[in-house]
Amino acid sequence: MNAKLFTADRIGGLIWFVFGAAVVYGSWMMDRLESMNIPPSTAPGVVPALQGIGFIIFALILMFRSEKHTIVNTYAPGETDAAPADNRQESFYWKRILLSWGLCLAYGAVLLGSGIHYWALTVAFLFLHAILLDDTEQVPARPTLRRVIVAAVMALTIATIVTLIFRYIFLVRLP
Amino acid sequence: MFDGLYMFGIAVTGYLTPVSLGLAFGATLLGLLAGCMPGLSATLIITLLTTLTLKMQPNQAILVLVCAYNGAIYGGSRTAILLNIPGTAANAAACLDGYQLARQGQAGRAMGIATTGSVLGTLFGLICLALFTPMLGEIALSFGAFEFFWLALLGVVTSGNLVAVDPLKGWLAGLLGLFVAGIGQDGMYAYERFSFGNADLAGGFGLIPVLVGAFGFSEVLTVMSERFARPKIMEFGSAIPRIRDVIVYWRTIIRSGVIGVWIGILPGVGEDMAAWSSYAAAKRLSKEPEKFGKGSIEGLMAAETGDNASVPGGIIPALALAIPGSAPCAVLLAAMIIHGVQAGPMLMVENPQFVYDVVAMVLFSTLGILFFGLFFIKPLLKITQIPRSILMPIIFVLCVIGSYALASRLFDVYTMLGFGTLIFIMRQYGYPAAPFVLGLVLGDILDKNLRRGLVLSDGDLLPFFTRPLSALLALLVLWTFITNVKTINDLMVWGRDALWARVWPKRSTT
Repeated sequence: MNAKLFTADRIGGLIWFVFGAAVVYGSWMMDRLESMNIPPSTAPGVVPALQGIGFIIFALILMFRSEKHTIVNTYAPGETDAAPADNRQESFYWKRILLSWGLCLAYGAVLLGSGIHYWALTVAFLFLHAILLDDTEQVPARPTLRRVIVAAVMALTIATIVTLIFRYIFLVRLP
Repeated sequence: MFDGLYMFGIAVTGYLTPVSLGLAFGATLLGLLAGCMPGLSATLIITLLTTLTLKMQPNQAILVLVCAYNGAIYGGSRTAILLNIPGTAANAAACLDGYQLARQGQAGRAMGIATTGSVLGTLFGLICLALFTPMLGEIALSFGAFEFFWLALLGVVTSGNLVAVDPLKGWLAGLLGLFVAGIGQDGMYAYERFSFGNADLAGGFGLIPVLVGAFGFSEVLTVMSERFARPKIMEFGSAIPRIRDVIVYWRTIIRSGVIGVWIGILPGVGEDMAAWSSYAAAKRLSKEPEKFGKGSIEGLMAAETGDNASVPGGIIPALALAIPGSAPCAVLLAAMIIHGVQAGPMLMVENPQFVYDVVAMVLFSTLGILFFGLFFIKPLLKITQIPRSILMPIIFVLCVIGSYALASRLFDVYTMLGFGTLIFIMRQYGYPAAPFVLGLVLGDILDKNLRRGLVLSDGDLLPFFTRPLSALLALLVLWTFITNVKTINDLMVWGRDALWARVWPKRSTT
């Protein structure tokens, strides 16, 4: 494991700890249904509270472990920062993820159900996703005319098939 | 015994219709194609197919899912052999010797061995499925709430322990799955937990949208983020298996079958572990261990027999105990619940025919593997040439419409997107998705049985530790925790030393 991952673990441990504490607090504040004369051990908050405690314990172990390793490895040789080439690769990697994630979110969370026709929206999404992320060297990609045509044909075909199947075979009222 | 054979006969003849056969072979082929595509897991294809088979008859829908599952696990061996890229995680072990054989000009032979191993492994698992599911179901009838609580917890703990590189992260992912399963109205008093007055949240998160997010959307993002050059396919000859290879390595086949089924039965472990364990056992007991990793027929046979044997193996606890043996089985179990099939100890009492129906489904998928594996090689490999930038948005569109089609509500699409993003981020930092899914499926069983047990014992925790089987399961859970967390281990060693220092000061100082 490298130093970066231990830092991530420390932050992750903190997030899990806060989440676990919130779960325990939420469980404690739940109605214990005493008016229904139910045994306190079967109250709705019991299981989530135990899970919250589990989160806290594991989070503490995660933080303790990463802290211990960070102290031991602070002056250890060999753990250097990433080389510039790696940084460039990482930046490319994140650009690609963010572009794909953004397109997916815009399609599924923002535009779907906003009044735009499902078929048209799906064609646009498939086409844009295919051409913008086509190149494995450049983000966004600069596609050739041939690739634009392939993406357009694919988008039209898939969107039509999916729309017809779900609309007329599965009888789904499309958003 | 004869009742079982009779029911199996009914199941086989029941599926001998053009529609059922078409569905079985079509789904096996679809699974094979998905398995061939690096990045598309068996879990992803089953999850997507679950949403596409909702309107089908339960038996036909489960037939499609079982066939696709088995096909996907086998399909990954193709790319493992020809491209050194495992199609699914289960085929990673096949890369070691399969690719070496291909480089030596024996790609056709390697594919023949993979097909033979997969078919024989599945057939061995199929026999175990038919024999052990009723037996396990009968034993499970004596299980009470206490035992089921520990079984559910053991499933999540084992999965977290074996699937993740870091068990702690596996358990955290499993715990998150258990927590998410508890959101919404609880199963005993219909009290709304963590819904914050939201009507959609009060009904809880739908199992399928969360699964589609965890295995569909998160994989789309993962695959899109990777650099991947279009692979060049090697030349290969005939893939017809040689009888000699089967006869010479019959011990390896049986051993790998046993290991595969056993690992399949272990809750939440999965096919990849079955393949690696079978491979390791074969290497240890081989007369030619030096050939392993350099193109060993025995190694490839062991890996492929092990992973496919674990497919029926994983279905055994899913049917008998409602505890899935692997992540794809968890999705299969969720699909059964959606289609009204109540898996668990009562299945053999209320609907024993269904168990043999599943055995017949596995048989048809095996026949499909044999057929497509031997006679449909080149078209299968064409699929690897499809660019990811084309394939991934198609999968995402299916994820969206599949989640939406369940109840025609956009909340399920948002659920899919939210959990997909969360699982993607968690995977980037070493938290696996499989324990999360196990937790999600087992959350309800764990919650209900813990509270039922507490009602039965009047709030007393002792029966959870004093009933013989409960005690054994509790010990297994505790042992897994203690032996895998270094911090707890260190504390125990420190405690032991401190105790010795008090009891026997002289000895402890020497």
